[in-house]
Formats: sequence, structure tokens, C-alpha cells
Amino acid sequence: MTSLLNKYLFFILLLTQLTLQAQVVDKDGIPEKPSPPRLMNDYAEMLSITEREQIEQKLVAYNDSTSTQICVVTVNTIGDYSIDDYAVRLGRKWGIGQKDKDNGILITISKLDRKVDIEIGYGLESHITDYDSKEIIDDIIVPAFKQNNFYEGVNKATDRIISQLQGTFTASTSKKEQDDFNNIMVFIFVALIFIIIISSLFSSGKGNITVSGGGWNWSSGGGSSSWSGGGSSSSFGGFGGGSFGGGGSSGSW
Amino acid sequence: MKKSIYLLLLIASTLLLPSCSYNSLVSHDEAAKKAWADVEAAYQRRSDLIGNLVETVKGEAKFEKETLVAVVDARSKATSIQLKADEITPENMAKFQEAQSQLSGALSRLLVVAEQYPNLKATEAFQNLMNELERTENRINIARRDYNEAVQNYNTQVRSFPSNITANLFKFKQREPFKADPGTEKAPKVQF
Repeated sequence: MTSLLNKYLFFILLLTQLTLQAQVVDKDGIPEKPSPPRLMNDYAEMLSITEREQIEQKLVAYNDSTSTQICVVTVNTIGDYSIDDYAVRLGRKWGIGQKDKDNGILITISKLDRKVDIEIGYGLESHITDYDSKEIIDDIIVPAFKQNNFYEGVNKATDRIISQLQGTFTASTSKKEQDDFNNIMVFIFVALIFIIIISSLFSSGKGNITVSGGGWNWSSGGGSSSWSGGGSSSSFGGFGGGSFGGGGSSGSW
Repeated sequence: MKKSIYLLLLIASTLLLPSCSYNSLVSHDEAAKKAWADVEAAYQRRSDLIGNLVETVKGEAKFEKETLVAVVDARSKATSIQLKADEITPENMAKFQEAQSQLSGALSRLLVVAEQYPNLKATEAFQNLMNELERTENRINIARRDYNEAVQNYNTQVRSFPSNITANLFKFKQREPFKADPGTEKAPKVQF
């Protein structure tokens, strides 16, 4: 009886462990997309919590202003993969960057293998060449990591990428996108007012007018709050479905 | 009255069924073609880089001429075989792979020889090329993998019911994937 119970307990334990693992990596050993989505994913716990948040804030703000998604992932090990293969699989699976622009950048760090890789999305390959990313690894990341200054390495590398991308198409496209977004908001706003006017014209009696008036207040409030939510840099909206074709560089420390 | 509606529905659905799979066949076919274009672009990129590499090496090292000649020959042979997506037959694909793998071999030999010239290895242009070549081998591998996946999706649809009826009707033929042969599947090591 007890042995049966033991077996049962063991089975339950195994099951929970399996499901726990399944949440972290898929069958190919590639981590699942983080939920809620984040740009700084320190699975190997190489940075402190405050360091992590500082980088997250910086990358989220950069994503908000340019739609370019720079993602950093640290893992304990990449298993049997080469680091560039692992990184491409991960970047594609998560969909880093926007779908139509492929403007994602993925920095993958494998703690135990002491390997680092930068993958550049298709859309940014002409702005950050393979050699540029090689320089970022050789001149910034590797020297810092050799001294165990992981935060410094990641922070300076992302700064360098951001400054390298300055003045490229991303800023202008994002402005255009923002304009488009504003236009859409204006259109929705006008359409709402129009609908309200029409409905109040067609409806008869005081009661109906006050009800639709209330509706107007509510919808305008909802619209503006979601708008400011998109503009603030407090949280990351999610990955855009961008893809990678193998551009970038890798190295070890 | 009711019967005729059922009949109409039946006719409509039989017409609709293959037409749906037709559109999906077309989009899978297009996906495979696009994937092939990426493969070609990746090989072209490598070919260009090899051209630059030959120039760089020629200037710096006056070594074994035949190694360089072998690379130049293999390169021109590989670039002479341009395959359009619709011309990919098993024989053509075999030729294409053969030519590219010969180029890979010649390139590896050149890199081994270049190893013996420290002056050459130290130049920034050479290091830059090495890095680009390494990543281009990556690009080729990824493009080939994507192409094979696209072909597999397409071929599955061409062969499975009911889309195979449409495929037969409109002459959608199966596409040829890359064969993994030991020469081409393994990218030449360009690390120093």
C-alpha cells in the first residue's frame, strides 16, 4: 500500500517537474517566449536585479521610440548547439523585431560555455555589418566578461548598438509609424463622435441622449489612457515576429 | 425546394474544396520559390566574398599559385550554374550541390595555406573577410534549411488528399530539396 502511494507521489513529482521544465524550454531545448514579454532575460542570473531592470528599461525605451527590438538572453548552457545556431532558433521562435522590418537584434550569452553571440535581423544587416558586431564582441563584451563585469559588457554593448543605429531608417520609420498611429486615433475619435451624433439624432427622448453622452465620455477616456500606455516606457509590449538570417558574429571569453 | 438547396450546397462545396487548396498550393509554391531565392543570394554573397578574398590573398602572399587558381576555377564553375526555382530537377540540383561543394573544398584548402602567412592573417581586411565568410556559411546553412522546410511543406500538400487532385489538375510538381551530403552539409571551418 505504501509502496503504491510512494509510486503515486513519485509520479506526481515527476509530472510537475516535467511541466515545469516544459515551461522553460521546448523539445529542441530552446527557451519559451517569456511571459510577460521582456527584452532583458537573465536566465543564468548573471546580473543583479537592479542591473537587469536598468537594461530592461533602456531597451524598452529604445523599442518604444524606434520599434527596433534589442533583446538580451543569458542561459546556463546551449547544449549541443553552436551558439549562432541556437541564437537564430531562439530569435526566430520569439520573433524579435517587427515582422515587416526584421529589425531585431539578439545578444545571446551562454554562461557555462563562456560564449556570446550577436544576431542581427535581416533588416539591420546593412547598418550593423558582421564586422561591426565582431568588434562589439571583441572590443567591448569579451574584455568586460573576462573581468566578470557582465553588466558593464551588456550595458556598453547595447549602448554601442544603439549609437550605431542612430540616424538610420529606424528613427524615421518609427516617426512615420507614430504619425500613422495618431491618424488612426484621430479617425477613431471622429468616427465615434459621428456615430454618437447620428445615434442621438435618430433617438428620441431625453433619456437616450444622456445615455449616449455617458458613452462618449467613457470611450474618450478609454482611448486616451491606452494611448499614453503605449507611449510610456514602463513595460514592453511584446515581440513583433521579426526574423533572422544568420548575420552577426560570435565569440568566447 | 429544400433538396435543390442541398444540391446547390454540395456543388458549391465540391467546387470550393479544390479551389481552396489551389490558393494554398500557390502560396506554398511561392514560399518555396522565395526560399530558393534566399539560397541563391547566400551563395552569391559567398561567391563575392571569395572574389575579395582571392584579391587580398594574391597581394599579400606569393604562395602556391595552384591553390588560388583552384579557387578561382571552382568559383567560376559554381557561379556558372545558376538555377531558377522552376528548373530544379534532381540532376540540376545534384550539379549545383556538386559545384558548390567543390568551391567549399577549394576554399578550405586556400584557408589552410593562408594560415601560414602571419602578415596576411594580421591585416584587418583579411580578418574582416574571415568573419564575413564564417557568417555567410551560416547564412547558407539557414537558407538551405528554410528552403528544405518550404519544399517539404509544399510537397506534402502536393501529395496529400484532396489537394493532390488540384495539384494534378494544374500541374503542380514536387520540388527538389537539398540532399545532405557530407561535402556540403559541413561548412568549411574558417575560424582562426
